[in-house]
Amino acid sequence: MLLSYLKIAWKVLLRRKFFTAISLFGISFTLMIMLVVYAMFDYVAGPHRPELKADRLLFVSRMQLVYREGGTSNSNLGYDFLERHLRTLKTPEKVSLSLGNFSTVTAYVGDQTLKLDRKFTDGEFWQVLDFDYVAGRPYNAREVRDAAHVAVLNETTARRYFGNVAAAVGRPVELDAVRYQVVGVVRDVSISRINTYAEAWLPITLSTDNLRDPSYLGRYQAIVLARQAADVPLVQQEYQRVIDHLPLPDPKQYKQIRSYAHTLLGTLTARFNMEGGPEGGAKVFTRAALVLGLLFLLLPALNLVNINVSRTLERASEIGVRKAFGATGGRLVGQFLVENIFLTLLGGILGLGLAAGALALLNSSHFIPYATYALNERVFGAALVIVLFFGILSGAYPAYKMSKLHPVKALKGDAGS
Amino acid sequence: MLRHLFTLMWNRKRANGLLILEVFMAFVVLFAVGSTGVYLWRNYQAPLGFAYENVWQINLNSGSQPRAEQVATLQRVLAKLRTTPGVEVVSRTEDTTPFSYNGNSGNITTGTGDTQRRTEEADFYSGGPELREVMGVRLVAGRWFDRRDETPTRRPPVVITEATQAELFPDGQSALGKVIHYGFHENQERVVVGISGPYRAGGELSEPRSALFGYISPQDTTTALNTLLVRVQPGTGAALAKRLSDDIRLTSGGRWSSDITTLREQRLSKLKVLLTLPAVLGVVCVFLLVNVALGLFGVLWLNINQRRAELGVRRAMGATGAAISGQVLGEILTLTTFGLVLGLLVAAQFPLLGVFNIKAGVYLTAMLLATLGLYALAAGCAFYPSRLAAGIQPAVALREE
Amino acid sequence: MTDDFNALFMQSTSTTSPVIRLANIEKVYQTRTIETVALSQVNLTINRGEFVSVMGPSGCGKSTLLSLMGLLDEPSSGTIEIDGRPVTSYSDKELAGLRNHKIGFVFQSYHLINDLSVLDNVEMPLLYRPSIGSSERRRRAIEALDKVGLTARTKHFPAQLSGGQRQRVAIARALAGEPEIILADEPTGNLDSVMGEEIMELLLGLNREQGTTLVMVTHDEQQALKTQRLIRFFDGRQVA
Repeated sequence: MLLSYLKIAWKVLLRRKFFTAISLFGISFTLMIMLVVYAMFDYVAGPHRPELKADRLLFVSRMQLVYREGGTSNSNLGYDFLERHLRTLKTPEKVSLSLGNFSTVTAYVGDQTLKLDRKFTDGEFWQVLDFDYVAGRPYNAREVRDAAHVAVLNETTARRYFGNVAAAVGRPVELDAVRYQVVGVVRDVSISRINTYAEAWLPITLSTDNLRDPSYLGRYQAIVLARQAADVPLVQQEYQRVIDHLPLPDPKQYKQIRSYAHTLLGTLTARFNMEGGPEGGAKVFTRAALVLGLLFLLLPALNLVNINVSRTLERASEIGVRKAFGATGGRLVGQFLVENIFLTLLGGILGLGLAAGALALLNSSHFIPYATYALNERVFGAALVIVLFFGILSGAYPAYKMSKLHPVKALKGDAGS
Repeated sequence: MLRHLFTLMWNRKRANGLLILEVFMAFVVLFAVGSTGVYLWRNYQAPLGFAYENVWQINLNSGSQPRAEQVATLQRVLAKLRTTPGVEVVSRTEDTTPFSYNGNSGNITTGTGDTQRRTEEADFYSGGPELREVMGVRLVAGRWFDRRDETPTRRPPVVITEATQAELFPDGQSALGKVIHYGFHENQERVVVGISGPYRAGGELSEPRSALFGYISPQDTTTALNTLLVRVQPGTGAALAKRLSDDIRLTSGGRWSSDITTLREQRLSKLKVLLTLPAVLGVVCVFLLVNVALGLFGVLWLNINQRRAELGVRRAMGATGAAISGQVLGEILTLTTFGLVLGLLVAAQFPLLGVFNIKAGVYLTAMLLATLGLYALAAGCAFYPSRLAAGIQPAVALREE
Repeated sequence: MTDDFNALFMQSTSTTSPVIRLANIEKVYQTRTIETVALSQVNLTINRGEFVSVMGPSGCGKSTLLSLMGLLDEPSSGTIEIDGRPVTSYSDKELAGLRNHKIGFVFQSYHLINDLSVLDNVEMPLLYRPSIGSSERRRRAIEALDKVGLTARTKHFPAQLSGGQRQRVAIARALAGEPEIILADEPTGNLDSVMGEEIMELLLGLNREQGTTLVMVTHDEQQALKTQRLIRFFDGRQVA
């Protein structure tokens, strides 16, 4: 039965090439746009290097002090606070402390100025995260403790500064007139990996900040690696207990401290929504994204519905014959849905191709520094879900109309209006 | 004829319901893009009020130096920079520099009680006596900050823009010498010493609004310690930047570092950020509209094929080919009008409710543009099908059944 | 423009003058592979005030003949004259005007517009006369509906009417423009005998009382005998 449906579907598509083209255009471009957006989202919040073990990682990057008179004070955390309360957590496998953001340093090569984004990290940073080493090695805990003047550069910076990557290791690089010895070169990290991105990584002990400052608020963050994905809630709960027992810095001024161990997506959404609680507003974000996606789908789907309804009336006599020979309404609905899903699947394949092209274009434009967007199995999965959803959304109403056609009228070609 | 079309389309509203819905949504899309476009374009047309070429911003990082020592170091650094060849003028400022993402805003008030007047949200900038020369701000009346302002017993001076003056004193009297209040230090009295032209540090795409400049005295030891704006001679480049950076480090005994960027770079980087979303929105909307256009065209084409008999009868009854194509065109425009009315009802809520605090004129212009665009889209889609309808041979069409 | 048409059409109205004259008409349908001769060697004159019926088996060219007389189609060769003037001399626009002012059509399957009410359907031909205002249009449409006895149904839609009623609406539509000639293509073909009889009486009455010229294609010998003249067709040729 399915095969014969597909045969008919194929013939219908070929019979009216113009309408097939219109439909395919709509479907494939809709899908392309959705896939590009999803691939970009996945690139920001999915498991990619260096946060390859995203399912085991937690980020403590912000603290919020709530004033008694209303209002809040938000910031990254103090190094000393993290050292005392995060390093001592029992449940995680490893904890890494680093600068919460990045700062700019200047290097001069000949008469050229290189502006580099610099991040201070500890030695564990390289163990918790999975960087891709092109040459050399990361700096270790001892070098960090001794405040050794060492640096890890990204590939592009090494190439621009030294001419080629292999020659960089062991040579000095001068940043803001301070010399560091390059110990390793890693593959470029995109700026959209906001927690780990930099162009030059330096030992945290070289920071000019006073690391012994006991303030809760500061410029630092902790990246926590759980032993396994299932331990993530345990770590979150343990950190929550720490926060709950934390004395207020000035009880006259403040009434509450908020800080959470967020997942990768949570840490991103929490930047915009500090009220989001332990999951950082990730659920709200997901819901909002789904609604927006649905709204975007609506117009192309409606368009396809309109074309489909018109074509259904055009095929009235075929439907009349089928009904006359005993096809039930349900069967006709099935047939039409199969046809429409077949069409949207074709559009889906085209859409994947278009999305791959669009992403390649985006990568080569360097519009977002160091971004290398690509399709992966999650994007394929998303494509399949969207296509099926789209196929059913745009096929259901025309199919219903088709099944309601009166066979006698349909045979006379008087489909009515 | 018009009434005939309305009757016909009204009676077909059930069959055309989805089409009307599609037109409605296309209108919403056009309206959204139109509003964004008109808003940005209007902003872009307004004068910037300053010259960004050959101006550099220097961010100073004093590292772990105690605050008490910083002022003295800053004075040494300023003196050094001012004598460096290639540097024309240097001014201290706060971090609300042109094309930065930092802003300081609030209401400005004047008078008290019943006679108090208050501006809408306005931008607060601050600068030293040299800022006007660095940025090329136009002075309309009064004077810029100078040595007279250093007398500590005076009430702090302030320079306001023409727009602020117009907002605070709508009766046209001069604001010079008047007392105003603004921002965090709401109780502090400030005296207007000058009226300047516009100043939109937010860049070309920011909304033009009232603004004022607060005064940073050369003796100020609490604010504006970390940011400098420097006008350099045309044609200077990386060599001077490196020299300035070295000078700053050496003058501070190796404790300070600096980050030098040109305002030209900052402007491009901000434009990129601000234009990305509208550009993406634009591309997506163009796609949606092309999609709608193709769909509408397809539906109309199929429609004509199904209505051959009816159109044949009309020909037989004496309608000319032009009348038939006019009718098809008229029908789709009528249908568009139905969707449009729905869309306008929704769009009208934006200026009525003052959504996003944007001027009603922007929304009204966008509504007009969207309406014209929609009619053009519909007429474009109907053109070929209407020619097709005009070409129907009545004898053939009537024999088909 | 309307004045021109009036000058053109409101000519002599003597009862024996020919209204439509077909001379040496030949009509060939050409498809990619075959050539079908629909009409051949047709010479025919319809006089003012006549009621002529045309009979013949299916596919003999009756409907083609009616299309040619109604200026919906052009002959492959031969001349058609309306009021003594060959139609080839008319522009497309003038032809549309001729159809609108001079000719009314009635079809076997009614061809009413389903989405318009009875009244709107009947008004339709008058829409193509810019000189007539909406109240005048309404008045004439109601007058035409009065002639077919359907004034009570003006607000109904075609789907709410019986076949006979629908055909009466179609006749009212043909009458609304006050044409000199009505061309009816099997007007009773879709109706049962009682309803068919009603329609036939209506057409005969129009011919008798208003002097309307009628050409009717029919399959019904009984009906044909009631008309003044009967023309038979066979294989695209006139046989009687």
